[in-house]
Amino acid sequence: MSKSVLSVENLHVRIGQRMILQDVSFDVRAGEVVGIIGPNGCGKTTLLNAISGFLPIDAGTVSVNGRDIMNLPAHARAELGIARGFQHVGVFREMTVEENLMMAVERRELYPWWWILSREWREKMSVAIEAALAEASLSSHRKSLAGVLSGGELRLLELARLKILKGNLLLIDEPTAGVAPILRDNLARMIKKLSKDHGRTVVIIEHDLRFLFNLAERIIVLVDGKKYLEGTPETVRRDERLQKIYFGE
Amino acid sequence: MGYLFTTIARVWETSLAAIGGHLTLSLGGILFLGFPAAFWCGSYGYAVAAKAGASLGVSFAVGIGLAAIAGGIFAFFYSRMSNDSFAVITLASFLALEALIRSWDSVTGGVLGIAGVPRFSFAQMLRGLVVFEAYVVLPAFILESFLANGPFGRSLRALKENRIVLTAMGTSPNTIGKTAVVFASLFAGVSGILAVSRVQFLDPTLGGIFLLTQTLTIAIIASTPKTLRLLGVTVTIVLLPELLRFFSLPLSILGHSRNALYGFLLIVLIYYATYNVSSKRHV
Repeated sequence: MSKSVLSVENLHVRIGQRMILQDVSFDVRAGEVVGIIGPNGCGKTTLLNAISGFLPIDAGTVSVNGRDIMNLPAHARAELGIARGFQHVGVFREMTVEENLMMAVERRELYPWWWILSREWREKMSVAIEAALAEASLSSHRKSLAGVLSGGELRLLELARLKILKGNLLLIDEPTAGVAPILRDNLARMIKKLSKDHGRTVVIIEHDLRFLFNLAERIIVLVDGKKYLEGTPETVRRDERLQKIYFGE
Repeated sequence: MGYLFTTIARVWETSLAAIGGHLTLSLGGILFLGFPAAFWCGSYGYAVAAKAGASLGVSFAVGIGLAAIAGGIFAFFYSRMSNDSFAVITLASFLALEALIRSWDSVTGGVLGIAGVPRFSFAQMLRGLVVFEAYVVLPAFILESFLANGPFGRSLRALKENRIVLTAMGTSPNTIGKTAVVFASLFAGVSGILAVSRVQFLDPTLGGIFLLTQTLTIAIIASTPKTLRLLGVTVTIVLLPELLRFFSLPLSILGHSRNALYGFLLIVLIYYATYNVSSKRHV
């Protein structure tokens, strides 16, 4: 059995007076794709925010790659290997597509400050960006402002950037939101590739159950801030209460 | 020729403060209004040390050192508060420092100021000073271009657009913002040293709200990471009041009218610059 990359134990998160997450525990193993589902307001995004350090934790522990990360600020957690995709697409729209990717390459390689003066570094940068653009089918948009891309292309750019970052744990929040069905296949392919070919561990929040069930090996269901169910997509699909939540009586 | 050299020197001096405004406000969206305070730290540090008999090299270092301390204090506040609170704090620092300068007669000369501030021996004549300032300002522009178009500049622009995403990429927004604030304070401090060595007289009317207005106007109009645009906007903003000399205004209201007209022109420039930027964003 492969080692655990993400371990969440008895997690409690409170925002103001309201307890958003209560006693949530789960493990994610290396290379695994885990989906998180649940009705609106059940705490899915709060869970990712707590893991990535954007929200303080009331009680419980979070470990990544065997290291307790509770006392680390968000940027240090990212350095440690947590790459995060956002519900509203974490892309800098006022930068070009190329600049968005350059930032990721600079972070991953820890480029020296003089890299723009060095031909060797510039060539390395160019090769890394060309490869990322080709994989995301965005080569023709290299010099375009990211803000002019469609919703689906923005998602692909975000994924391309997450792939470049050195993290081995990807937390992705609703990747298909605002994405045309035709581009969802591309997204699914990229996420699968990240997991299978690059050995990344992926945790995805998603409302499109068909998309998620085809992608994830394990599903965690949150209801009212608590873990309601955990199992294979088949087990979750058969759960009656969940069917009522998603598809009504 | 004296008028020409003075104008060029003013462009160089304003450029330095503008570089700080460009890094903080234009690129990073950091509401740093402490330019006059850093400018005075540089200028008074240099003037007081020089008048006390220190060599000009040491006086220069004292000015830069004080500006760096001011930058460090601003950076501390930046990491502890929201952007709008930071704007108020930095503005208040300028008012507090002005009050201190006006009341601390024994050191700053109070409202009477400090007269006879010496210049470097190789810059005794105005022409030599302009050349010396060019040697300081041109490398500063190269550094600015390097910073603005490199990883630091991209991080600053990312900070302005979405600090959460920047954080999620493993960069500390606080570190980026604090570095920009320290750079801006240092540039404003050097600007103060150069200005006082040109004027050779220092009181709180040098710099102050006029410098702040000019710096912020330049920062708003030169909103892209292009350094040449920054230089162009700086030249325009500094030369604008000089153009008003060619209008025949009644002598009794000449000074006030020029100030009012200059203020009006700045508003028009800012309006059109920001209108163009926002209309592009809508597309």
